[in-house]
Amino acid sequence: MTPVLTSRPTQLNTTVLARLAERWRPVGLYLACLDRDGALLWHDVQMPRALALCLTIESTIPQQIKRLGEAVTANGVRLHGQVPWIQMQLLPLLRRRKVTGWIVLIGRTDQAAALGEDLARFAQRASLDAQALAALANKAPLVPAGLFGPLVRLAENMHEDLQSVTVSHGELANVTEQLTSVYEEIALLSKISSGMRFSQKPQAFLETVCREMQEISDLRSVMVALARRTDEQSEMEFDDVSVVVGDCGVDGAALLRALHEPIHDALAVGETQVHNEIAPDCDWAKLGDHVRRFVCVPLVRDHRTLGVLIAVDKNDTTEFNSVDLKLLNNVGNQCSIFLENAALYHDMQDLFMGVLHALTRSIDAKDAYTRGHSQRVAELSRELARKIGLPDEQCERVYLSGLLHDVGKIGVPETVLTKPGRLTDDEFTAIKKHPAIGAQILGNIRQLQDVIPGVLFHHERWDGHGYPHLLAGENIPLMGRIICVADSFDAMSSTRTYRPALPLETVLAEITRCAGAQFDPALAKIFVSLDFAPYQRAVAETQAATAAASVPLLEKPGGGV
Amino acid sequence: MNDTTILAVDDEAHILHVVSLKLKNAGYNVMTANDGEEALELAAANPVDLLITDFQMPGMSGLELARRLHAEPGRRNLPAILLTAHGLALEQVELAYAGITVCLFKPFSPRDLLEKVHQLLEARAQVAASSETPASA
Repeated sequence: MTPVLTSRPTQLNTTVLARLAERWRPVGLYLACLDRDGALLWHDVQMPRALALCLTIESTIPQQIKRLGEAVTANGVRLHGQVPWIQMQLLPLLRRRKVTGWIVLIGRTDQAAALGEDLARFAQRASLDAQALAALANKAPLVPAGLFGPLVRLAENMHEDLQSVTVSHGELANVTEQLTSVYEEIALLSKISSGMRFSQKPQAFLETVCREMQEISDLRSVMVALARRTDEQSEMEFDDVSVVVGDCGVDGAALLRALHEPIHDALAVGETQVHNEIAPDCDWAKLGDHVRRFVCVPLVRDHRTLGVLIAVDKNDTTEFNSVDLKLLNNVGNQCSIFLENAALYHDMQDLFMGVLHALTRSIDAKDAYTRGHSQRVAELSRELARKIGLPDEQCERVYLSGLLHDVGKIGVPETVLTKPGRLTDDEFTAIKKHPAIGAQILGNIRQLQDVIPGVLFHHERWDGHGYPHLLAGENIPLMGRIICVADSFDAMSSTRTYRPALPLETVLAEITRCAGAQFDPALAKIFVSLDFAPYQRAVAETQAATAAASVPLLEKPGGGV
Repeated sequence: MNDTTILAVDDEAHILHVVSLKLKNAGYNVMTANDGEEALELAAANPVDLLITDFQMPGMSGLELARRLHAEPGRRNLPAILLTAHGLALEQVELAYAGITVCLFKPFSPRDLLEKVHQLLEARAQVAASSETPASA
């Protein structure tokens, strides 16, 4: 029989009681449990009927308990039972020194005899005659009267021990649960920090992080809004969330607008803002229709605002507690580190490219006819690289190579570079040095070693009649062959001192004609199929800029076209 | 699930507690041992459906334990998960020889571990089911 409990709370642990009952049964002591006032809550199902009757029929226990009043001794109370051959001891269950219930230890300590009126009346109540009751009682095991007291004390000690063991088990289980969540946190942080790649887009990293967080803490939704990268701003504005995991019933931009104030507070103070409830009179009260609780974690490093991480609701509807916050803060910190480094990395990238563009523009600008040339060649080369299926990273290297292909011209006398008429053999020899000069200039920069082939070999010819090394066919590195086509295309498409720009169709025809001679035939074929609209736009832009700067293109002292 | 027994072995008590709690909450039976010898004793007296063991333990290593268990009759295909710290590089060959199916690095996520346990046991059940189908099909 499973113990039946009333809804009144007692310090009742039925597992403990059942175990205790099991141990004392063999000795003849049986257990029962009463509530604070003496009503029977539970008794050992194997208790002999005669003993059980004493607890149920005309029990005077409640009155006796009442008479005790406040004078409850720790040693328990010997009760007077209905019949003389049965003894009962009451042990109090205490919680903070208040009685919350009683344990009853009951046993037969004497031979039962059918004597006395009280007994007869008692038996009648049980629908038995006195003889039957006595016979029934004598079936119960006998506990030597002198031993009853000591045995009861032992039982009480055992009960205390069992209780404290149960409490310890409970504590251990609690600690283990907490330990488990600490493990999850450590595993997550370890994963995050070892997986950081500052060159990757923030998107991918943040999404992974948000998803892990959502799973571990069982959150309804997690999102990150990144600060717009402006230089000076008095108040940080967020347009929209960059990453969102889960669904909180409100769209990202709307949520950011509504939570404008808590977000601002978080960033201003640099501390996470927890809102476990939404007051009905605050600015974001309307959110209360969809959202119950939220947390705003500022993503800030060195007073630089990088963004904000927002967690919305827990799926089990409980409040955000210190465990959740610790994890959110740690993760927020990791995100800040990542974002700061990613920003620095991209700053560096921008700086590097900025310098390169400035360098190559300045070389191109020596001759008005070549203005913008390197940029255009770089873009065309990259397009061609993409079209032939090179991976993105490679295409970017081709772009760099195209940008730098004429950097060696800085070693060529300006008079030669800008000479309007035909070049002498010596002058031609000087110009032919520019690929090698370029390669030499770049030779000391470790990070640019892979783009040197494009610089050095962009004047080699497929048929081997190019310069400087007279390489032929596939011996010419791919980068060189790519830039060769793009370079020639732009040269033909630009106005020169000796001729105006050729129309697109003519240029493409020429490229096709020279395929196999000057150009790699396969590359030439693919090149002519590119979309040249962006190119033509770029050319038009450069021309417009030049005209605006009013530098005459086709007018030269002494005339001549 | 209640009839699936997992044997968890680690010399660090806190790990045993965490693993034990996580798996018990998921409905599995869990036996724990602090070292290889104890684990073998338990395995001798009880059925084992899956082994989770730490690698570095005083006395018998987790690999050695796995090897010995897999050598026992009927236990050749016992799914086994090894827990180890990063940096203690274990060759694939070593792992395969010892019959380790999955290697998890510490600090590990208890959630992750539970998922791997589910996967391994499910896979094993599927293999068992398919090997029972009559050949006449």
